[in-house]
Amino acid sequence: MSITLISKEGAQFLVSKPVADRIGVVRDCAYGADFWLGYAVATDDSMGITLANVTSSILSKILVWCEHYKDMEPLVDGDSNMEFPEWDMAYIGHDMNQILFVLEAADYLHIPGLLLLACKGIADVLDGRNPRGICDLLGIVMDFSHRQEVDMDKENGYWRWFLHPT
Amino acid sequence: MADVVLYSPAIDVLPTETLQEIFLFAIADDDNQKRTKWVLSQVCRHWRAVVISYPRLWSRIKFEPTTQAGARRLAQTALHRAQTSDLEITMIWSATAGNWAGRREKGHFISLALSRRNQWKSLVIIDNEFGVESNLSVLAEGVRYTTLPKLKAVRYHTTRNSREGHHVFELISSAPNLEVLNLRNVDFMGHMIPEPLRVLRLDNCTMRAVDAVYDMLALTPNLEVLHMSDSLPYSHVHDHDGSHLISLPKLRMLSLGIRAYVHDAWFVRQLDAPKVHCLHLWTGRNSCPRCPQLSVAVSRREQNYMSVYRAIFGQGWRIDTVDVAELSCPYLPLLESMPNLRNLAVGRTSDLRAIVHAAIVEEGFDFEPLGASVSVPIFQLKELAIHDLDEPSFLLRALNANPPTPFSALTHIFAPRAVSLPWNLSVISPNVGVRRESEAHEELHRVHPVTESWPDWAAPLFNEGGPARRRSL
Repeated sequence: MSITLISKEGAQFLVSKPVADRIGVVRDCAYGADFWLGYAVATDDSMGITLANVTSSILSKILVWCEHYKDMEPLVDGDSNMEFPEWDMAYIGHDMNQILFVLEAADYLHIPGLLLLACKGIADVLDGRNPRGICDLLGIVMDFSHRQEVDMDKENGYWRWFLHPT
Repeated sequence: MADVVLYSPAIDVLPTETLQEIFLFAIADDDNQKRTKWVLSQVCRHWRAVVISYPRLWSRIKFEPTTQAGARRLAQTALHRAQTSDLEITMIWSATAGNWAGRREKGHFISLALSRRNQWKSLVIIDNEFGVESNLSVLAEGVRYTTLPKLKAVRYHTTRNSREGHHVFELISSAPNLEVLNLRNVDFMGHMIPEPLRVLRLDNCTMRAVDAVYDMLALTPNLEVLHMSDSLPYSHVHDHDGSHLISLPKLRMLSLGIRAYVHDAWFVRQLDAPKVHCLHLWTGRNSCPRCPQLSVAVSRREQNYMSVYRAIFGQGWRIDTVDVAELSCPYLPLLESMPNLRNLAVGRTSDLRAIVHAAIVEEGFDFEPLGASVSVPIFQLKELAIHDLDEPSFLLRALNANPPTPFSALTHIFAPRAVSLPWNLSVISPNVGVRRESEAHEELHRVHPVTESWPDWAAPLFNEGGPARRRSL
């Protein structure tokens, strides 16, 4: 059985059942309650599912991950010290923009393993940066109130130079 | 045909749970230099609210002696934000804390930590002070009349006089659910250990009360990992009826320092541990009883090694994992008795020569069997870890040799220093003379990717009490 996934731009991706099984939303859409109840599912090769907010490039990247993990279980839970396989770390890379899109698509498509990997990828990119660097990287505005700034001044103490270099 | 509603992604609209997951990963390797959780709390109002209201982010607290202002206030704030979550506390008492300001700060932190003692999940103390009384007694006194129900792991490493470390036993006597105990340089007085203990690592711990230690081991039936840098000497109860003294039905990993004492083999024979499948052996390099040049003078020391190997063989363990500091020829009889061996960790590439029976020659490195009586090892390795990958050309030959060697079916090679070493390094060793290895490095990485880490199944490197990597480049 195969399923056609349609991206935001309308591009079609034909994927096999083991690959599609990695995507929670697709699994739910394709099999519905029958899947969870263990009954046989329809085998309609022409089945198509539109993922209206996943672009073709991100969908193709996500399908690479699903293809890799079609026969084995990805890490889906554990403590923050767990080690991801080298393939995973090479896959997710250090491009923050792309990792963010993958994360949000994984969240939207219900792919817990990929969501966890994207979180790890973002954490690695944030590593060693100061608050200003993180704001610049992610386009976040420092919107603290005066009271919060006073609190932070007290917290910072001697290492303020690291957090807020002038 | 199913359609899914449109979704607009951006970092500042991520669900709180996702942000928390990111932050947990970010603080995984946090330290006092990066102070990641403080950094994350000062990015924007939303992030600050998420960080402050997530106690797990603040549950790992590390105190290093410092005279810098504000350290105490930060510790107080962190503990306050940790709320009621389980705490992982690390204290480093170093010589720099010997001044009055450092000692005062340390005292404050200890009292702060004691105020949350019922939340302790793990306690790590590195005690490297000298010239002043240890604070361990203060800590032990603080928990004397209480229980520490959540405390699962204690690590106490010290460079002080080992007799001062016995206070750690007073501390763990208040922890009925302790599962991991890791002691270094502590005078092991054989105090009673909680029954749930699963991992016991004793590194350079003097065994003064040997009988009590035997009693203690007899009362830890749940032990799964046992590391002792020195085997236990004879006890007064060794005149027994021939049955095993120490019954450890769940033991699966034995890490033993073998010092060529007469009682080493005796200790191994006393173990009744049928499930052992992983051996970490810590011995010194010694001469080879099979080498034609050296076998004429097999010393008593080598005979003691051999008796240990015979004791291991006699146990009938199905060993699949072995880590040895250095693999010299005396290990061969041991390895040859392990047909199920799949994972092997060694110190240097040259150690592998023993396995493929390569002659130690000055020029060239063809495999030259030492004699017809030498049999080829019957195991086939799946994973190989080499601390110093100093002779990749030799490993390449072993991988591609015909007839097959024990390395022909390798699926994974671990070499933590494979890339950090300069590839154009000229190897100078008694085995191969001087040779440039850069081409071999490139070839090895091309045909058989090398993982630059140390595998989980091998002993931790260096300071964690595993087999010492005695030589390095």
